[in-house]
Amino acid sequence: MHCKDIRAQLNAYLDGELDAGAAPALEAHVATCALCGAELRSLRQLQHSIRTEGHWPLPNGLEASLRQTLHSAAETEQMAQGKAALLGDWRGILVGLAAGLVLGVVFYLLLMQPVREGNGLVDRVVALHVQSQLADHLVDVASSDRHQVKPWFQGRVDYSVPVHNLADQGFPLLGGRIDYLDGRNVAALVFGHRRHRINLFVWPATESAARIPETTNRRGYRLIARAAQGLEFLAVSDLNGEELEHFLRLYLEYGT
Amino acid sequence: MRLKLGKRAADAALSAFEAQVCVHARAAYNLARYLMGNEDEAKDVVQEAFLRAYRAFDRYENRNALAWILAIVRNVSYSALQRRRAGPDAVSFDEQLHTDSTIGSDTPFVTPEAQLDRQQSAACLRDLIARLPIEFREVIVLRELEDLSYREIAQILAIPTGTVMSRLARGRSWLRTLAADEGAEDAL
Ligand SMILES: [Zn+2]
Repeated sequence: MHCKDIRAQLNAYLDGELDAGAAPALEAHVATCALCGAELRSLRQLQHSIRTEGHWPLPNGLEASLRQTLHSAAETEQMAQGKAALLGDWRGILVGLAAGLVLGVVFYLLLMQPVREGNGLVDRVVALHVQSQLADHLVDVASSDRHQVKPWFQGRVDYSVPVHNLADQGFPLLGGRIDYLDGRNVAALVFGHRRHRINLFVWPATESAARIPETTNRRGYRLIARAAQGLEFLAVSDLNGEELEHFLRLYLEYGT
Repeated sequence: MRLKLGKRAADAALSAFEAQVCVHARAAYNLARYLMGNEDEAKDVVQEAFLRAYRAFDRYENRNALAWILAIVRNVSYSALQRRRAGPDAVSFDEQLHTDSTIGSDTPFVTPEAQLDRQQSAACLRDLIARLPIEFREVIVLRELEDLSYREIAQILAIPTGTVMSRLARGRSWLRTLAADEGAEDAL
């Protein structure tokens, strides 16, 4: 290969975007060609400098004022909606009444049969996932060592929690937590994946567990439920569906 | 007519927004800061971008919150830049650069020398990046500082991934030239 062709690929290689098939030839060339080797080192050095020194520090108070802006926007929205409901024209009120009626019927139907969707549970799980990231309450026990996390659960929940660290597969274990869910204390395991967090809730399979659909999307989060080993596993994250599926499959197949 | 959102539901929506989108405030500010060239306008852009995002949040389906908010930040920045260019008292780029290099003015009284050096070299590096034309500056920021893939960058900029790669390559070689001209290779 000519130096010219190699140079054209150096940036993609540096960014991890070069086809896997093309990398060996490039690496072989760079190892022997002094000029291309120097070029790659120089690019690496530049990348390193930008990544370590290029960030603008967040100005003091910006996050707080952002939060303030959003809260007042949310309040204004609520007030506007309240006013619209009070002062709305007859058509609005009729639409409202009709919608109310429909909702009433839906609730009635839902209550008449067992809640198959487990909607309350889904909402609760999403709320716990959100809370765990908001309130700095991600974990009660922070450790990537399964030998530390697994015993921590003993005595806190009355079942054995399978704990695995999937760091090698890109899902490092960050720790564990106890949450109150479905009328009992349940184990929550927390994993990272790039910038994302995954909460994996584990509890003994029961009637109510069977109500959760296999996959649910709720407010930008995805939930995937699986029953295995007499336990119910419920993973929730803002990861995309395939990645979360992949994670849960890896977890359930771990060591088998 | 939109059904009235209960207070609880509205709070939950805000919490979800904060958890998924507000966690990217740092990244959003960084991009805005590089696009606008000064702190005040960058702050305004961030406020407006998050407000827009919040209002669009119930229609939000994309799972990539970082790329989503950065695309909004970029749109808001470009509109602001356009207004600035059209405005009567347009500020020139160079003037801003000078007002910008006040990093370290809030440095604590006793600072280890090494740290001071580091802050100066970081400020110097940021100045170099700031001097790139905007189309190269933004790909460098999105790739190196927000760690986005070529595909994510291509989507935000609405350009082919091949163009992302060539702009990155040109931006990087431009940066090295600028550093050499400045005798600022140490910053790299
Ligand atoms: Zn060569």
